[in-house]
Amino acid sequence: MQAPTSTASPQPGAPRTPTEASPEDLRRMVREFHALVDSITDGVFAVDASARITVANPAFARRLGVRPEEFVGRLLSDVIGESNSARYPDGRALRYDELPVVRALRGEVLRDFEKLTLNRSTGRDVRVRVNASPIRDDDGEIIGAVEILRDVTELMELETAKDEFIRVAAHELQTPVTIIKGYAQEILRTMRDLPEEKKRMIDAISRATDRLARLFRDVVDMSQLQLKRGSLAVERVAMNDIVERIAESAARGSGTHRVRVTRLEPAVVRGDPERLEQVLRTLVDNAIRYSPEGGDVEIECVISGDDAIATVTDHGVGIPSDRQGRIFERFYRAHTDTSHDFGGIGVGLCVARLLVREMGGDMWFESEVEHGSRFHVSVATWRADATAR
Amino acid sequence: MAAGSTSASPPGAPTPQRDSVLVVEDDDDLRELVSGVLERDGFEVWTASDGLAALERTAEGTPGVILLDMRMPRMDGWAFAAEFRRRHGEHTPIVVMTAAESARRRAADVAAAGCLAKPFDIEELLAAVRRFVVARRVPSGV
Repeated sequence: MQAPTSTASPQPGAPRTPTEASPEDLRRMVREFHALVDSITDGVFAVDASARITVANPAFARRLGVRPEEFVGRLLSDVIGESNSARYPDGRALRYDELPVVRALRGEVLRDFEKLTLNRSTGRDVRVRVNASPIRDDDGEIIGAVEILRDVTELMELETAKDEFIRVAAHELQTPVTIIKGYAQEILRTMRDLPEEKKRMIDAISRATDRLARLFRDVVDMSQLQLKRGSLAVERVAMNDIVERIAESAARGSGTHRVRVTRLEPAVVRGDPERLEQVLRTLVDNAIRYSPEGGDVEIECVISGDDAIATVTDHGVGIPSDRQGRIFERFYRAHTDTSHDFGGIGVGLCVARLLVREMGGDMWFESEVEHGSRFHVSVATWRADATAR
Repeated sequence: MAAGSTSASPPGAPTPQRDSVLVVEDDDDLRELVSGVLERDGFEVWTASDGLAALERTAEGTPGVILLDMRMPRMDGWAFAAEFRRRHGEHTPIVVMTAAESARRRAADVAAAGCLAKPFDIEELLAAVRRFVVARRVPSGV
């Protein structure tokens, strides 16, 4: 509401400021206000400074399967106390002071906060995306909070269907790829007197199918990760063994690069062995891919405090500083349209960091153009984690 | 493994064929690729296009190792592995052939002795089989 002013006289028919308004005007303003709020198709929900509910529009009530009258005028804590069905997308319950509107009362502004909540009339979960902010008076004092809810259930179902489609399609592609790659290799294996030129052709087919297979794997990983968070195993993993194994196989696979382990401390971490291997393999693959001139790729595994840190260092093309901030983004490729574009769809690092973070660890890097990159992966050691619990 | 151990089987029991490989895969081209590679390397290869056919094929004798696709019509790899073990016990190693992202999990599902993640290398295929059976021709020089 605006502060009263002595100068501006209201337009005919326009609502005047409260101090000048007649009781009839005020009633009309309230009616118009409610008509406005009630006709908004997003859910609108507001509380006053004492967390008493002042507004709950029909769209809001529909999402939760309640009637607005059940909410308006009551304390949020009473309403929540009866049935708090709000949960984070991963299923964890939201405590009272974690509710968007309660956080907004403390002065926070929340954007695109996602939560699950139960629709009481259908008994089904609704996924809502919430924007919440404090309501301030002219002096800046918080006099309430408002949240706008958008139902994204259908959107998320579409996302899930899309990811499932990608997963199935990529899965179905594995068989034809196996056949193409298999016969290419079998021809090379059995026809030893093949002219060198033909051998190179068939070799290219074999390599191309490998690349196809890697693309599918990345796409599948991407969609899998979106589909089911929290599906990773939690085991005792000897990270040093993984580092050693990857270094060995990478050294075998590349003729022009020297892949070697420079430091190897015993490191038993808490994580998913296959996924950790996938992460480190991605880093080593990248190190090799972005060192087109050949050269050394170094891998080390050391203990630092409660963490084990694996580091992969290359001396290749490096990442331009203006692109470094984006390399973990989905589908971002730092070297697109440069002479260092070596293919890929830009999900390897994104997937790798998601995986590491799923394990409670982190990934970071330093890089300099023409000098190469150093990527680090840290995961809590098993012992440190056990004592923390 | 010794090929001569077959004679020790009790009468009426299926005869283990220690040097043979059963390839269970519903895709005709992939089955032909795998069996062709193994035959060229001297293995005796049996084939089946799904779990039911594989059960029929093993009624009279079990192979030295089974290469098993998981998703198949009529009877899939999970059902086949369970039924095969019920009939013939745990001795015959099973190597699961399936898409890379789920290979280890599928292998654990059926307590497999190994897995081949599609798309596998021919050398990986041969190594997986050689772990369990010895080719007839190669060691004997035939």
